[in-house]
Amino acid sequence: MMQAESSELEVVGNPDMQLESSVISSVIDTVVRHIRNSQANILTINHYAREFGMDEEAREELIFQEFVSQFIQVLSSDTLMNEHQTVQNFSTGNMYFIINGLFVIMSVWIYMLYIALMRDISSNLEDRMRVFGVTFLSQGIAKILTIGTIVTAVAALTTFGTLRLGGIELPAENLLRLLILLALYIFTTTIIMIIIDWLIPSFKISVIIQLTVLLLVVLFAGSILPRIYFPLYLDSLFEYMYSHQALSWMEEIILNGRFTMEIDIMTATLAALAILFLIASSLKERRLL
Amino acid sequence: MMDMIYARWLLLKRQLPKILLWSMLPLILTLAVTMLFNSTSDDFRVPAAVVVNEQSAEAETFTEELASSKFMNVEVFDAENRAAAIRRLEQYSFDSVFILPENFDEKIQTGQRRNVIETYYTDRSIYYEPAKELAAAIIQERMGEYAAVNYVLELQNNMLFETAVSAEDIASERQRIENETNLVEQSFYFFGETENEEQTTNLNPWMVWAYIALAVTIFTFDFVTRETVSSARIRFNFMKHSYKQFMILTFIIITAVMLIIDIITYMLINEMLAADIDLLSLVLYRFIINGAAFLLASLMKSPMKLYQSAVALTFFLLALQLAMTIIVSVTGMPVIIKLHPVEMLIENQLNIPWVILLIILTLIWVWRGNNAGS
Repeated sequence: MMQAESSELEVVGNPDMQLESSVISSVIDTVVRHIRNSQANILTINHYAREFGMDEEAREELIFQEFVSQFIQVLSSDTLMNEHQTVQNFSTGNMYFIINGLFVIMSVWIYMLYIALMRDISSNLEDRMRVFGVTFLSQGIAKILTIGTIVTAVAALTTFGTLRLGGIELPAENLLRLLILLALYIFTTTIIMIIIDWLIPSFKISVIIQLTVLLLVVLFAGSILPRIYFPLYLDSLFEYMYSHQALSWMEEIILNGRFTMEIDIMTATLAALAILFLIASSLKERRLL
Repeated sequence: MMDMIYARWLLLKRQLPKILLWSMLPLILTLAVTMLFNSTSDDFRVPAAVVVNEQSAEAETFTEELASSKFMNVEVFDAENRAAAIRRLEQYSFDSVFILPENFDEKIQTGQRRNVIETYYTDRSIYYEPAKELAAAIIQERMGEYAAVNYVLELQNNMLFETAVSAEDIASERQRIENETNLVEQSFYFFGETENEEQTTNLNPWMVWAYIALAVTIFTFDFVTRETVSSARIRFNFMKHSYKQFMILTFIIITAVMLIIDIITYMLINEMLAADIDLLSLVLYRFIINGAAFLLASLMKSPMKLYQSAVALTFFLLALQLAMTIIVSVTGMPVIIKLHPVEMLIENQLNIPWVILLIILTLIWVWRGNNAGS
């Protein structure tokens, strides 16, 4: 290193501890950057010292001192910055993650209940049901109502319980708003699942598509990764996503104590999906789908 | 034996295109998902702000260097908008804010190391630490360069009595040394491999593949459920071969075919996504999920229930894996990791306990209920 020859620092990672080794590698990256920097400085001084005709001993002494000084500089890089953390309210910090987690869990519940209600219908039973006048529409509405009510009830209880545990007291009208947001989100998602199910004849493929759609809905609600970290070309998608509106207003009400909410996109989506639902059910009834 | 194979072939022939399609699905989906993730993940940047109190060359260098990082999206504010930047930080629109003071230029040039800049972050800042390191590195580099140049100038004053070189010459010499002499580099690799692996923050495609393969395998084994409950099963009692023999032969053939597809998958994913995995643990994983799917399918009373349990099982394992670190820290038993087959696959471990478990369960299945079908 002292002779300005290139050298290589070999770091061998333990393949059984990949994550830790990657972290260490990125730390060492920073250290190596610092070392390169110091090395360049020292070598410049060395070069000129030699050029100016300093004698060997004095030069080596000089270099050593410089080396020590650079070393200490690298270690003390923390003092460079005056750091502040803006702490709004400590409990709301964790509550943010809890709300996002609950949102994801709620979506998974919708799907689990949906799968559980998948009817095992043999063609015998289906014929008898048709004779009785059971339409696809009524089956669909039954599924929506069941899944919607059960998941909304459980989600509401969980949310209110978490709020109580987290020490956040909300007035009754805000609790009502939360309930409305939850209900809108859950019912809309359920209708989407049912429409996908009706559109696609094969169960297995529809499962895959439903899971993908669910993932997209949850992802673009900003629950897994906040909206600001997304690239610009995806940002406008958030404006039109009903799940994002639901989650962001839930956060506003719970964390920032707002007394309003906007449900325009959610109601529009719900209305459009309801129309699609009715059309699909009538098509299914005539066995066109 | 040949007649059993022929019988199975006749049964499968009608569904051949569907079966082929489903067996290709894990590979295709894994490639699609991973490539999509990789191509968009570069665009995911952390929003950060820099408040420049006094415009200067150093301030500009700092801002440029910070913005050139491929992880960050830097927005610059001037002194009067400082409050606006901080407010946006508090509204969680920024991950972190760096404030360059008025005498930033001076501080860099004279090497005043204490509290050169001010930084602000929040409790939701996920990228603050690396951004801070980057900022510190930039500042250190600039300071170091000035310090070296000044030192050499001083040397010059003390030793020569003329100015042979100027500050710019020294600076460019230093630049030359840094660029041309190719100083310390790091090469990082895992023990047992010899090539340098690139550090990426990408998704492990094998994890995606593992879950998709699990679900698809259980879906593929739905024919086991249908045949287990079918009324034609009774006829096996009067035939040369027993039902169990037939099913076991089918299992072996299907596992062999799936293994071939897995090896193709292994080569393709290695080629295209550069993600390596131990071949033996892959093979064992295939055995495990095939065995588990087979036993699950023979237990279920109808294909629909099988599909439901497939989805439930996949979700359950996925949730377990995502919560693995929390579970381990809460219960303090790292051995739990060994119980999760996908975890074992990703960490290139040989999942012997599960293989033994499945062999035992299969043997139980073979010997139990010999009278149950009649």
